[in-house]
Order: sequence, then C-alpha cells, then structure tokens
Amino acid sequence: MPRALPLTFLSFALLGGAYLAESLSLSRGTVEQPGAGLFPVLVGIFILSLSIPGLAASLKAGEDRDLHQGVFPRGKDLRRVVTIALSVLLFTVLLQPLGYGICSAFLMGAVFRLLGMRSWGKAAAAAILTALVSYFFFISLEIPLPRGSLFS
Amino acid sequence: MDAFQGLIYGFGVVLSGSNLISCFLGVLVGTIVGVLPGIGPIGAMALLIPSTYSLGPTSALIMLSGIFYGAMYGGSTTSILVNVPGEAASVVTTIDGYQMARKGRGGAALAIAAVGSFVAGTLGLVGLMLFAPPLASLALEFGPPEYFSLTLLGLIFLSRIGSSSALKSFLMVGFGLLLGTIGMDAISGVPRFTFGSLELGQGVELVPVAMGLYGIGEVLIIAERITGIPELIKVKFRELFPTLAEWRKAFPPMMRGASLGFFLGLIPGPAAILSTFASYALEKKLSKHPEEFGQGAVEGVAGPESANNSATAGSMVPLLALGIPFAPPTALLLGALTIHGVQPGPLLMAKHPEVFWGVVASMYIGNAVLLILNLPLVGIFASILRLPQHMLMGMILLLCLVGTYSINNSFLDIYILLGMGVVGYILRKLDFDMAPLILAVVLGPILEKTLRQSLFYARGDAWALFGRPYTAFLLSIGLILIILPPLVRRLRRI
Repeated sequence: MPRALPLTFLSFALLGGAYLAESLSLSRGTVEQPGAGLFPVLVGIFILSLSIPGLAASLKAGEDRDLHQGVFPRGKDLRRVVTIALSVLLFTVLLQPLGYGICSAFLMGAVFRLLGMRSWGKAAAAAILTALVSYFFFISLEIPLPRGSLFS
Repeated sequence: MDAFQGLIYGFGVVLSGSNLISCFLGVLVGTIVGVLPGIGPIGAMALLIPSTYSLGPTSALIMLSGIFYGAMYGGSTTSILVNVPGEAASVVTTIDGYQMARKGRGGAALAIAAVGSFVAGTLGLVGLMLFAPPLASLALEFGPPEYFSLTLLGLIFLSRIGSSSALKSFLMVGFGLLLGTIGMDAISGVPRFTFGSLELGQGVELVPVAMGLYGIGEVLIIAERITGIPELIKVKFRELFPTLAEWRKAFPPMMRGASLGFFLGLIPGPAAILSTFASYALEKKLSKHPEEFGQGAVEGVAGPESANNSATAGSMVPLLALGIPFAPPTALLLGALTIHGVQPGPLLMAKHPEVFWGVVASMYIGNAVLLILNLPLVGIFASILRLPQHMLMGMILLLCLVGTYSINNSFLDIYILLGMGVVGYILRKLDFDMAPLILAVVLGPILEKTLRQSLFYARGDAWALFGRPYTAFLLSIGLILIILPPLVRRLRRI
C-alpha cells in the first residue's frame, strides 16, 4: 500500500469536514451560554487543521513511500489478516439470527485454521470444544448470550 | 482521617468481603497478561471491565488496578527468559535481563526484578499516600476553568511525549474528542451525530473503543505472522537467589528507579514505559562500568523494573486526587469507576473513603502477593508461553466480542469494536499512537463540560477565564509545550 499515509490523512480530512458540516447544524449558542454545537465545531476545525497539512506534507515529501513501504503485509499474510477481520464481521452479523454457540464455533474454527492448525478436522473439533467451554464460562458469569432468533 | 488511620481503615476494607479475592484475581491476571506478549494491561483491563459489573466499585477498582501493576511484574519474566517483552514497559529489561539469563544468572535477574518491583511498588504507595491527600485539598480550590486547563494540558503533554509525531498524536486527540461527542449532549439533552439511532444516543462506550484498538487490533497484527512457541531458558528454584554482590549492585538502582518512576507517574504520558528508559539511561550514566550495560548488568534490570512499578503508583495520584487520568490505564480505571457511579476527584476521599483507602491498601497486599507469585511460581507463568498462538488469539477474540456485547447487550457496540479494531490496526501500522485517542475519548466530555461551564461563569469575560492563577499557569505550560519544540528545531537548523 504505497499511499497509505496520504490516504489516512485524506480520510481524516473527509471525516473532519463531514463532522464540521454536521456540527454547524447544531446550536452553538452564545459566548455566555454555549450550545451543544460549540465544542464539536472546535473539534471539527481542529481535525481539519491537522489532517490537511498532514496530507499535504505526506504527499509533498513522498514520506509515505519511504517510511511505510512494506509496513502492511502482502499476499498470503494480507489474506490471513483480511479473512480474520471478515470472520469477526460475519460473527457479528450472524450472532443475532444464529446465536452464540454456532457463531463462536465457526469463528474459532476459522481462527484456529488460519493461525496455525493444519488439519480442518482438528480445527473443527477444537473450535466446537472452545465454543462449548466459553459458552458455559460466560453463562456462569451471568452474561446473557444471544441464543439465535432463528431458533426461538 | 490521616494517612495512617486511612491505611488501617483500607486494610479493613480489603480484608472484608470479596475485595481480597478481587485483589488476588487482579494481580494474577496482571501477571499472566504481563507474561503474554500481545495483550498488555490496557487490553486486559478493557476486557475485564464488563466482568466487574457484578462487583462493587471498590472491588472493581481493586481488581483492575491489580491488573495494571501486576502486568509490570509479569512483563519482566518473558523479557529475561525469552528475550521477548511481555508488555511495553519491559522492553528495556530484555537488554540486560536476557544477557544475565544467558550467563546462567536468569534466576538472579528474576529475583532482582521481582524484589525491585516490590520495593519500588511499596515506596510508590507511600508516595501516593503522601501526595494524593494534599493534592486533593488543593484541587478543592479548582473550578471549571482550572479543570479545563488541566485536562487540556494532559492531552497536550501526552501528544508531545508520545511515540508518534506531534501531528499524528494531536490528530488522534481530535479523533478521540470526536468520538466523545457522539450521543446525547449531557447539558442540553440534544442528540448529536446519532443519525436517528437510539443506541448511538447513549454515546460511544470506552470499552469497545479500547478493546477494538488494543484487543482486535493486536489480534490482526499478530495474524500477519504465524510464529512457533518460543524457547525458554529454564530456571530452577535454587537459582533464584542473587549473590551478595548482586544485591549490593541492585539496591541503589532500585531506590533511584523508585523515585524516578513515581515522579514520572505524576505527569501525563505513558509513565511506566518512559520511566524504564529514563532509569536505564540514568543507571548507565552513573555507573563506573557503563561498558557492562548490554552485557548483563544487574543495574540495567534493577533500575527499570523498579521504575515501572513505582510509576504505576505515581500515575494513580492524578486519577484519585484530581479525577483526571493522565495515561490510558488510569483512563480505563476512571471509566470503570464512572460505570459504578463513583466520581474520582478531590471529594473521593471524603465521599468514598472505602474506595480510596481500599485501593491503596490493596496495592500493598497485591505487591506482596505478586512477590510470592513471581518468584516460586515463575516456571508456571513462563510455561503459559507454550500456549499455541491460535488458541490465545481465539480466546482474546471471544473475550473482546462477548465482553463488549455484555455491556449493553448491544450489537452496535460489537460493530464499533470491529470498526475500531480495523482502524486501530491500520493506524498502528502507520505509527499513530493509540494512547492520545483513548485518553481523548475519556477526557473529551470533561473538557467540553468544563469549557462550557467556564464560559458560562465568565459571562464572556476572557480575563475571568484565563486570568486565574492556576489556569494561567497550566495554559502557559501547554502553550510552551506546543510552541517550544518546533521553535527549538527551527533554531537548530539556522
């Protein structure tokens, strides 16, 4: 990712701009009686005043190319990171309909397989066991785990 | 009550009910997370905040602070035996600790680190008892303008001495402040940046943000490389006794490390980490044989390991006396106390003496427990490193996800957790420091409230706001911190 730093600063500039625009729709009140919008306006200006020079500096100096080359993984390593992030996203999306038991078993299976277990069978067995143990552990802590709307 | 009476009262609090168990659990978890590379005290504290909901505020704070200072003990174990620091405050210990272990003095290094941590931790507590009450009395004179200035100064200080560039750190402060404004405005009740979501109206919780940045973010970083189980240098129990010459060498650095660490803990910033580097540099400078540093110098273990423990006690002073955290771990302690309906600050000692003195007394007990845990049982803790990476990462993920969900039974919190995890992963890879972000999420609402109160009281009169002695002093320091470093850099170039 050769342009990661300018892209990050650009994202913050866009976020700051959108945030400032939304803040301006809130009441800023007066100096004596400040409203709910005053502080967000200041924060929005603060973010913009940092992200725009940061973007300009990173583009101008080509700093990103020198400093951040090779910082992000590539190939198989990148796929592993993305797959784990997507597995967590899938867990989150499916947690409500499928419940904790099934989702945690799938997530653990993916993590175990991706992070070192070579056999799918062993990963699946370990994942089911982990899901079961963790389920009873969390229940013992009186945490109300989602049981799955599809099954209720 | 005076400090002595307070301490006696505190011991009574700790020794009753569930507080002693909380103390033991806290230091045990702290030691484990200190040993394990990848999950530090901040991540562990964020993970365990939800589990403290069923406890009282005293037990919760005792447990969470136990994780904080317990991690300082555990971190040295892997630094010495594996050359892998368990957490950032133990990086320096790898330099001479591992060299000592390679020379067959690993047991002595572990003992010196543990005893140094105990001595410094205990001395730091004496400092905490002496400093916190007068500071709290002074803070009673503070109004909103002083609190606003102090909070602002804390954020400026942390951004200036953080690990990334000032621009990146200030940007993280801005992002944290932005997150802190989401939800219902505490003064007017107006919903801000909620886009019609009732759940967002409650605001962005600290726990999913911290767990995302430090928990999920760390899992993603570790997932980049599949690593094997590290090789451990084995230490037998009978080897855990340093020689008289080693004790003699270790004692003065312990004392100096304790003092340095405590005073660095009082100022904003990652004191536990900074104090180890400062102590190492100091010991090397004072040593008659600086060439021994890096080759297994006892002073290189004793000083930094003492300093980081003392710094944890020091960093509790601003939290307990002023109600303002100056570092991410104490920000999490503030978050936990707020969840339990206790507001730390100058009135804490008067309104909730059981919390203040209970925590102080628990830290004395916790330090003693840690000494026992970290010497005879060091082999057991070191063997935790044999846990396969995929098991550890899987457990961290589940704890993050369920821990976040359990706060409000909210799916939105899990999305925030995941979002912050990905954001944290990218930002950490690009050298953005996460500490200012966490601190700004916690301090943002305080900053906004005190700013608006100050403007209201001042009735538009700027002098009434900035002309107050403490405010002027604190804001001047903040201004110097912003202006001076770039000015010095420019002058050097000329």
